[in-house]
Amino acid sequence: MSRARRLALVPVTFLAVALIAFLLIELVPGDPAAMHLGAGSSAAARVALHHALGLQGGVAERLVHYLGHLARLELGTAFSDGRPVSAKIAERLPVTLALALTSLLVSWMIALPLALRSALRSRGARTLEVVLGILYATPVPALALALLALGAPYGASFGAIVAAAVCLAPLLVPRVHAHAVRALEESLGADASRTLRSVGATRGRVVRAALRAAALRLVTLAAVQLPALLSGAVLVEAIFGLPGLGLLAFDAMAARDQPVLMGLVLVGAGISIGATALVDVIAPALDPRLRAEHR
Amino acid sequence: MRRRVGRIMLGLVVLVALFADLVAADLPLYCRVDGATYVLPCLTRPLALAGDDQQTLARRASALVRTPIPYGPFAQRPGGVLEVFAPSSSAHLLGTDDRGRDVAARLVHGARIACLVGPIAVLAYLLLGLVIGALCASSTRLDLILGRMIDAGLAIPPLLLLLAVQGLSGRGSVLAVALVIALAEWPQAARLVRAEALRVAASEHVLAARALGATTLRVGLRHVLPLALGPAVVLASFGLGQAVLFESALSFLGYGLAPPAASWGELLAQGALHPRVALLLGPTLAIAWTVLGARFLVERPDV
Repeated sequence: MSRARRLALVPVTFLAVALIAFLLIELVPGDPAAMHLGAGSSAAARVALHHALGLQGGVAERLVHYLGHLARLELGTAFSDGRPVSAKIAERLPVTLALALTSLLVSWMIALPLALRSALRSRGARTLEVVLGILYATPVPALALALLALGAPYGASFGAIVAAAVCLAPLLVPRVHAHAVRALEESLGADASRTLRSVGATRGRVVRAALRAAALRLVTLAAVQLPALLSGAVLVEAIFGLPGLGLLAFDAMAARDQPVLMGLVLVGAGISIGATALVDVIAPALDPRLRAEHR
Repeated sequence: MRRRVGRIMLGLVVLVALFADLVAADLPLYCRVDGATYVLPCLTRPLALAGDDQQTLARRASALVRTPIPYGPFAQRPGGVLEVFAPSSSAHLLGTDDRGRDVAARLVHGARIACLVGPIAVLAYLLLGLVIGALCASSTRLDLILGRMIDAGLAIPPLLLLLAVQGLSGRGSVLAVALVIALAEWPQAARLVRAEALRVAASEHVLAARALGATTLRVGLRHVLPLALGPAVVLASFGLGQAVLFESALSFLGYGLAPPAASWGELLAQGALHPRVALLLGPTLAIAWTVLGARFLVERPDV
């Protein structure tokens, strides 16, 4: 699919996410209003809350109400403190974004040199793969607790963000490594690299050119990994006490806070769709071959 | 080689799960009490021994063959004395948890949950992915709608989705947790099936089948689907480990299986509350072992 077409489909994908979220609200058994108000609540209070949540009427009516609010970027108000969900999410977003970017940076700094080494000589590639596999298989909480036991900082601080990012890196490194090795092997084996070598370019220059050719694939991969990263954030933020989206989700679960939970699903999906679209926009800057296609 | 190692690793987990009741149980493997002989009471659970455990039987029985770990996963007072968060000792190899239950026994029985949640979740999302992926490949009009659904599903952070559903519906049974995991993972399977089915549908043997007058349904079921399953099956063996990781993450956060289920994630959460090497090491190694085994099953892991 062409990039332009993919970009045009972004709003449709957003709509699909909204529909999935709506289906979830419909399918999850139990009445959120009754759950929030408790067993002894009056019927009148429940009906009032139903109206506030848009849970009254038939399925079609509820869907219209839901989409209408969403179109105005209204995610409702939180059960727990009555504040708008969008405000709650906005104030938590920077921490999670910082965490996501730091862990992408950390994992790339680990994976890229390893991938270069694997692509240039195949010795030890098997061992490396097994080591990365073991790291991937280690549950994130165990890593985080080990880091905390070793004296990693706790709470809202830069140190805690770095420590949390290190815990998430094992989830990302094996995949970045595998993709980078394949991309580098392809670009190093391409005619362009052979030509470069034949005109006497140094090895460093050949590798730089190969990296540049592989750049778009790697950046695309980073965007695809965002959902996994935001998922992992729930665990490490809860463990390191980082006040990000993950901790918000954790707290919202304890309070059975339906508007916050659904808002988080929507925003999380929005971030990853946005990132993928962003990569599509900047792709020509990363890969000159795409610019040539559109001329 | 690699795949054989993976098969052996996962096989061990399955064996432990199958024989969990012979390894760790309240009742012994064999005992003679008050003139009556019981063979494998840990499985048959005779009424006469209800309320007994291996510690009380040791005093009453004339002959007794204990299980390797002489406690059940739910026994709250092994030995009759409530010992909470006891360190590892000769009585409790890995110590006890917050309710005085034997950690080693719970670890062994946790293999059962891992062996149930993984396959059920994978089977469910494979089926869902197969149907949706096949529908996408069969008609361009359906593809326009369902394809967007797959994109949307891929964009939703799986653990956030799991937490939202679990948080609203409450902790559940093994089946419920497995189905929730399937709900988060189906887009991966659907994407793979769709891409592979489209590729196979363009190949020449499909053209030949069409030329011979095969119906669309027959072409789809006989000539496209069997070939399009390949990547999804690879994903499935990988997904076994993934499901175990998800279940442990959910249980770790306190929203997995309803208590008193003995899940590895729940043990890990206990280890987080009361950091002790013995309490942390068991579940960590068990989870890592299972996930690694599933990863080895795949020739070239790409996730």
